[in-house]
Amino acid sequence: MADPAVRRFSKINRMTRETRNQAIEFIANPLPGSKLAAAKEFGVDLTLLVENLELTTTERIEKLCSVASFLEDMRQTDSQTP
Amino acid sequence: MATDFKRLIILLQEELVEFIVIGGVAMVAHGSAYATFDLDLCYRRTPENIERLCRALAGHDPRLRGAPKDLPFRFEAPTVQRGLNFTLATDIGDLDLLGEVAGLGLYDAVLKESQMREVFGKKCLVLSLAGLIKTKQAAGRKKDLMVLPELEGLNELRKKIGQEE
Repeated sequence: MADPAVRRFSKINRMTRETRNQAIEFIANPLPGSKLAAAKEFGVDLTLLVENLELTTTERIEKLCSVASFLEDMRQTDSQTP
Repeated sequence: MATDFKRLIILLQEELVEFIVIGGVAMVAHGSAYATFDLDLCYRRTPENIERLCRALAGHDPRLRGAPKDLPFRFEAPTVQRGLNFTLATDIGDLDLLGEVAGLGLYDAVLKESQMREVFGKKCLVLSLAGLIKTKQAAGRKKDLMVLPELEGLNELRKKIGQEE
């Protein structure tokens, strides 16, 4: 179990339901000229950002581990296919 | 072999190595959807820390990534002291060790742009979103500039919902 000093940091990572709803609102209708609007225009899937913000830092990195592992498996399968 | 980010980070934490997570894993730590295959770290270049770093990796066959197999290389304190940035492969994944980070500088400068986070149950320094944006702008390569819209959008979103840095 993490020590109390460490657990204090985890609180700032986790998004509440209220902030999630706010975030969905912001990404659905980003203000024209904003960085969010520019990201959307660039092709960034903003829903993935909200999904990730619902996770803790550790959960985000664990998710990356799974993705990296899956991509590596795909890469190896691809290289073995004649 | 996919990089085992968790194992690498825990390994360094257990050896009390002073490091800051930068690059793609730092982006992910803040909520980016970026996928990366290596772990980029900025390390403090004190003799004690270099010793700890070498000790942490000693059992994992650290070698220069992409270098010919017969190239003599030993990841030991004198080697690290003579160099600065190292692009390594290990038996638990790829690890880039940077003594200096583009747009920020050496460890102490990077530290000022970093935040303490909980990672795998322990405190871990991670380069802030603002710091990441600075480094990507400074590096200026196509692959760095490509991620800027996402980082800037994420930074704005976090501020709007009160997850301000």
